[in-house]
Amino acid sequence: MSQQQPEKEKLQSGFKRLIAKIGDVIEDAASLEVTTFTGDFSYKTNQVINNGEDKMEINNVLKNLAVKNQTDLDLVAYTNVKIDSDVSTIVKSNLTEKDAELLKVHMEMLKSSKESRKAVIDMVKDLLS
Amino acid sequence: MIDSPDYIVEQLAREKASLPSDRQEIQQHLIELGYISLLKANVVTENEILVAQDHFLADVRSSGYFQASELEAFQLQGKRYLVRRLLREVTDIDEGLCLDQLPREGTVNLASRIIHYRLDLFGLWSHAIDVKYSRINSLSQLQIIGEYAQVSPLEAINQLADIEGFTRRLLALYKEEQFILTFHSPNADRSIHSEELNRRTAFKNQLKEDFGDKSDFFIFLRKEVLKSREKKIDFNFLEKERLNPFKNFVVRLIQIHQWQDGFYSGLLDSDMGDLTLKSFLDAIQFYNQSRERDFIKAHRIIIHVGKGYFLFNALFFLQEYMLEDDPSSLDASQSKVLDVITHNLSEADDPTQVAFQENLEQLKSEVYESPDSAPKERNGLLQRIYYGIKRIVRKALRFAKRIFKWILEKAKKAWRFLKKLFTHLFEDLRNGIVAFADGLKFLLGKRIIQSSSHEGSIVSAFKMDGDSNHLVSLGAVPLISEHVQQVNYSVNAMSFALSIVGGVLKIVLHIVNALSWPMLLFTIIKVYKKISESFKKLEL
Repeated sequence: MSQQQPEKEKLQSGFKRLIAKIGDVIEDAASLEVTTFTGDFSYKTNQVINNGEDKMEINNVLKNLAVKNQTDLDLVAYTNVKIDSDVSTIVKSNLTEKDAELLKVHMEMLKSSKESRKAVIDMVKDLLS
Repeated sequence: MIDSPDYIVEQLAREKASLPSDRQEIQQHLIELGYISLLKANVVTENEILVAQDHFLADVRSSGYFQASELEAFQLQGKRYLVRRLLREVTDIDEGLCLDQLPREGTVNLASRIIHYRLDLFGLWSHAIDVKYSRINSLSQLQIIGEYAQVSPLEAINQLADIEGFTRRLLALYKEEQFILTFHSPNADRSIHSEELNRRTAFKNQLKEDFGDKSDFFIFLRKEVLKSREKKIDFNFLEKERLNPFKNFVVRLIQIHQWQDGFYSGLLDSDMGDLTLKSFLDAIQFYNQSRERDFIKAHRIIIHVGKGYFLFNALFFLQEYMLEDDPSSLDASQSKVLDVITHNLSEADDPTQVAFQENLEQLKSEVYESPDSAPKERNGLLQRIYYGIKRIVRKALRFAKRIFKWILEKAKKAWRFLKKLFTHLFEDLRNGIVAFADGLKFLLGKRIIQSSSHEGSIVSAFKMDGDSNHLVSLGAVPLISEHVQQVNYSVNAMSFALSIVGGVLKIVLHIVNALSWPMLLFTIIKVYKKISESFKKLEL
């Protein structure tokens, strides 16, 4: 019982934090950012999974790769979609044939990002209904 | 860390690790359908299971028994789920698949396997399941069932997809006396030969109630069989009755009912031995324990006549215990059962909740460490478990109000039933946890999708607000289409996972200050069931 009680409290406060975090999602969802990089890099799964406090953040992987000077990463494309449907896209200049393939990936990922955001917004809407 | 949502993810991972894989069930069904040879049952390798799974999936796709949208909905929960779910549907005998025609002579396909599997359950198949469908072997056996049920061979195989309906049909077609069974178990355990089972009066009274005291059969039994002095008993009659083919078929039918309910875990062999006899007594005691009907003494239903011969009133047994009258749908029944348990949990004080959780843990370990759970070959037969869910859930609805208490008290007579019921609930919990944890990871920014080969890698990370970052290494161009496919699949699966998270949070929002771990687990099961059924109905 004495061991179970703190577990119960952790569980309850974990959910309270989660609910608060989801509450911020509408604000963050006002714009959507998709960024695609390329470069001559190699990474191991454990860099993504076990590389620090915020272990699954891809930004950390990017930082690690840069710090260890393993590679030069190039931006292929960056897209920002605003809630009013304003879309800005920055694309690497002088695209080679291979880069054009990467741009296709970027556009596919943009579609997927929109769908992910929609899934989250649907969930929040459902929570509020 | 104390108030971090990460704690929930970590606890869920621990809970999931304590739940077993579904390998045993998949393996059993693949053997039952002849995709893995019965002779291999005790030594099957992981690779053989994978090959057999793919063979089964190919047969499913060419069978046309499932709609593409249904397959896609199952696939959203992963290939393993898809395989297990389909295997279960195909081997179901509660509300199993109905065939629209019999296979052509000489074919081996899903239909021929289903027919041979069902015949095998009823002890009417002595060949390998994957042999060709033929008039000589397959159709002739279907005709036996057809004659018993007075239907065509095609209708007969479809009748075996609904054992309860099939039983009702036999009860309606045949005279009551056809359900008074005789069996011989000379080596039956002493405890079974107890004094109680030697009492004639209660058994006679039950027969009178079922037949009236004017029927010829009853009069004959009273005068020639139900005698207290052995010398006066007509053992020739009993021996003749024991060999009656229809009555042997009814024995097998009851064995199947008992097996479906978890009372019988021996081989399906039509042998009314100790194990079958004990399963009858266990069932009677269990229903007495439930106190939902009048207490029924075992000797009203079964008696030892003498020299190892028993008389068994299968008419009463089937009508009283094996047929469920509640017309509720499976989803509604399961939902009601979970509602009652969750309600009991929410009203329990902390020490009671802790005790409940501990006993639930014990139940979990027993469900999966049970030696009965691994499919084994013995004497050319398969030792197996019935995994169909509909029947056990309908029964659980009958006892819903008692389940919480039975777990809390570790009720001995109900434990076998609870193990059977919770085999399904733990499995739903496992699937629910996978989806719930997946959704949570996404919300917490921990969802990474990667495609790699020796030439390069692509990594994609999605955040809760939809923002995403992608890394594509120079050599990874050939991986692009695979990666895009993987991301598309993950995003589809994400909408399922987030529906589970949303459904759970909606409930948790109202009870967060009273939330305990077991309450969360039952909530996950409940939401998972509801959402997965609604996704199944979606036209994807």
